[in-house]
Amino acid sequence: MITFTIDDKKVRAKEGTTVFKVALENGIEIPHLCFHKDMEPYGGCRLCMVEITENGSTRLHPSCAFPVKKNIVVKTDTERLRKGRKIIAELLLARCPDVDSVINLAESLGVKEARFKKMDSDCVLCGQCVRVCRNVAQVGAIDFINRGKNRYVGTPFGLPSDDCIGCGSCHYVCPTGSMNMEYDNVLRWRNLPGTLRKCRYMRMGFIPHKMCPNNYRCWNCELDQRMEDLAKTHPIFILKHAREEEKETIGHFEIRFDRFYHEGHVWMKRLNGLMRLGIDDFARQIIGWVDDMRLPSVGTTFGPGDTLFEIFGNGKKIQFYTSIAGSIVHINPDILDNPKLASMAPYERGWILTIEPLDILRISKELLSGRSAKEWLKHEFNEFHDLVRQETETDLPPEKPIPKGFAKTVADDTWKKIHKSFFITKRKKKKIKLHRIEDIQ
Amino acid sequence: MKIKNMKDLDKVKEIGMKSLFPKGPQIRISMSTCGLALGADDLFQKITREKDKKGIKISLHQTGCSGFCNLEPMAIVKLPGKPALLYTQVTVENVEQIIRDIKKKKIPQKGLFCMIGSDSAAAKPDPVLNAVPDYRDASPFKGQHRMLLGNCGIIDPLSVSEYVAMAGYSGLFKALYQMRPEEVIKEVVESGLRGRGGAWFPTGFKWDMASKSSGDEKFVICNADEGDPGAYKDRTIMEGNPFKLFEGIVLAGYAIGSHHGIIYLREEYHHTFGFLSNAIEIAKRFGLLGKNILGSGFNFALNIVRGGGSYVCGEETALMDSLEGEVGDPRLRPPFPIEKGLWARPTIVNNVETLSNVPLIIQNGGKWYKNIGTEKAKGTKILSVIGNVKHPGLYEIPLGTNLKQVIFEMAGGPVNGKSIKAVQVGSPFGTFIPADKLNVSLDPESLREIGSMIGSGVIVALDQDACIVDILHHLLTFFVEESCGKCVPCREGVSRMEELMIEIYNGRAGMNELDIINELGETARDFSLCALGGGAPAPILNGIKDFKKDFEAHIKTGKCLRFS
Repeated sequence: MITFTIDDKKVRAKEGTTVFKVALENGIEIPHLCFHKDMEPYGGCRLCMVEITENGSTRLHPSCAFPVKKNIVVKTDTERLRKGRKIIAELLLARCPDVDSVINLAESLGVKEARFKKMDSDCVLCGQCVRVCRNVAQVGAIDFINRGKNRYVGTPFGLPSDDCIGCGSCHYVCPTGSMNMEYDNVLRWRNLPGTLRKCRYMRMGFIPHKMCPNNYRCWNCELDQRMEDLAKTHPIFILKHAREEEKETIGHFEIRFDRFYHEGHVWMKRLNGLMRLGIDDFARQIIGWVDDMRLPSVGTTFGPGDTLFEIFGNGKKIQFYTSIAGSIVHINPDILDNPKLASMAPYERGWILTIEPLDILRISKELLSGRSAKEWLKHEFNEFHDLVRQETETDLPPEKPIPKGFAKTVADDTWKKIHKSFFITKRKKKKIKLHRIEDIQ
Repeated sequence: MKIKNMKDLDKVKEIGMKSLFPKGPQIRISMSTCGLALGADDLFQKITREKDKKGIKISLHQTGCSGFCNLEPMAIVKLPGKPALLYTQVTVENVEQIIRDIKKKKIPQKGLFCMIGSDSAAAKPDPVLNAVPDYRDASPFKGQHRMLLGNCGIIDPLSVSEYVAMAGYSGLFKALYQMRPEEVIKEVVESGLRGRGGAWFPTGFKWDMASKSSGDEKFVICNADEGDPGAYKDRTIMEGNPFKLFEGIVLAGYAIGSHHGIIYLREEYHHTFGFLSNAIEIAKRFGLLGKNILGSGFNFALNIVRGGGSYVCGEETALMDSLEGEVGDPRLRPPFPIEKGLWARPTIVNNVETLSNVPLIIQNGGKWYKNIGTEKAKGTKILSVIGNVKHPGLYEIPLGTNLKQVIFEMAGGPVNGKSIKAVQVGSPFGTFIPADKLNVSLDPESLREIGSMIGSGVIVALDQDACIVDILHHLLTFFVEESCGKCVPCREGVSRMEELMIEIYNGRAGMNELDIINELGETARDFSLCALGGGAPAPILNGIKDFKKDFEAHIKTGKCLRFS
């Protein structure tokens, strides 16, 4: 906890929060437009600017993004700030003279009429829709187009986006009600052949499959209504919070509860009857840094115990095995461009393969998940630290992540032992043919 | 060959000396972007053909630009036993005469501008050369302190050996073999070097913080997105002496513990891109980039990335966005690039000119560097003087030189007997300094006192015919065009300022609108996200204050002052 001053009032706040949040907790509301509590700060509207005195010099900073520091003096309502906010509100009002939320905002800051030529836009370019689409829905179907005063929000080439999942979160967060992407995309789906139509909750990952009795007209859908009524927020934010809760750290290894785990430290996730897989946090921390990998080609079939792929990093190699049978359907194109992704975001963008399991019903028997995965990882954590203590006679701190260069410092013999006890499963069979990344490309 | 130790370096140096001071006649033609635009390529071919026809042995080289593009194509002719001679505006028609003269061992007279290195021991004075000034005394070179530009236009930019002969790579050699990274940073801190891109942030301080922040990988970015209208100093350094820049980048990498450098090159510099790519390949061949640099075991990879053509991408955070493949929008600070920069790794972003200073500092020591310049601003600055002056071009001056001296003595003052009305220092963000206040020292502190800035060193001189309203309108159009549109004060505010300025220009608005422009300007200055919106209002606000007469004329008659 640190103490600092807001508007002549001493306040205590947790480290890492922003001035805006602390002010709100203490009953000081700072005008804002582009800020959303569930998203990263953007700092575009410049309405939430505050005067911050730090080490004797006073400067203006956006409160939504400024992290609290010890002994800073924050002033949220001075003559200079009021004047500037008024001008900004006036500029926005001149841009969107017919939008209620902008009119209200301007009135609350004391602006009734803009002195400039009026435009007829209904978008203030706060970027909330763009951010929710990219960071919360993790889709990135819309973005800003052009720069400067010609900037607007849209899909590539103005065509209905193929990436859009129709979650409608852009429409939900829009403060001016200008986003009509949702409607456009729903219409597009209605024109698709029946086999390709999908429910938007299915696309968002809430339900596995849904045949729609409303012909995909979401505004007629009971489920849609109920979801939004129940939630008091958009489902996409619930999904985001759920996603955050679904992980835990065992020792210093992260575990995700929406994944299946395999004893060779591979995670797998169900994906419309297929399985997506990648390396888990344990493997990532031990190798430290993935430089290169060898992958099977698409279409290769494999059985339980086969080598699936190999990763290289810090001068060491790890082989990964499978305990189920199936065939390779797809290789992550991003990982081919940049193998480092596997060590940067192992659970998300750094996935490696998509496979089609031979018998999807066997998965829950063969793979670990939930509590069993947690216990297994705890066991692995203890065993790993014991092994390192025995072999190298040094202690790794059990609360901190393994240092990135760990694999480099380990002798080859020790590495062999680590590899044998954590990555090789008992049922070793044959080695399928693996290729270099360049060959696959 | 790979340079692996001092012996190799000396060997390369010897080769360089031989090619700089040859036994036979030699011609060097300035062939950077400006020279090529004025026909240096034809000239080169013509000389090749002509000397083959006449059957004389002349070694032919190319050089970079020396900073005065209006005097291009330049050629340096070196005859045995004579000092090197600089010729300006050489045309294809002159070539036959030059070759004929060289064959007769006579000095060609047409276009002879000055001598280079007339005091060198090998050179014998010639009666013909009595009236020809030395390069240090010939305007526009007179009064300059050419530390960075010294080699530009003289050595072959793609020849490592010639650069090494000019004491190149001795700084890097010293750093890699005798200094620890902390000592390199200490030397840079002691020198008092500050960022030459416009912000004047202490370079050593930045490096120190970057070296202390932790990350599995660190990046050195060389900002070569030279977008300020009228600036071409970075291009001149890159095309005139690229290895000096590479040496500086590797030194920066060694200092902060980075193994990866990126040159973010302005999109419009087509020729420079190909040229630098070649230079990188050559540097790799000599073991000056890539693995095991100079045999010391230090690895450093250097890449060039071409920009997206947006002015705002020269802002360091927008630049990193652009490098990551996003739209170049400035990011929020904190976190600063030294903590979380490119791909969320610690990153330093330095200008071409800043990095080119570093080899000199390491070579000669921070103490030596400290002697040049003023109390707070050390070293030299390359000014790009443009506008209504006799000799527009690049002037490298020690910081603290008087502005009046630069405009009237070095650049030759106004043309056609007109008088100077105003000078904009640090275009486009600097203010217009009226003629009666020109007696000011050129360094960031003195200029800040009078409300201006030195910026990246563009100086625009305007004579009595110029209308400030017109110029400000032009500047605002530029700012509106180049605003990224992320924050409201810059996107909306500056475009409204432009709108009102057009009204004033056409005489459709009054003093009331001027007040609104003032209000908008103050808001944009204080509330904008990055330096583009924050800096744009300065020339406007000061222009309205200092040149009331121009505005009054436009408001009353809708015409410029000199027509009304």
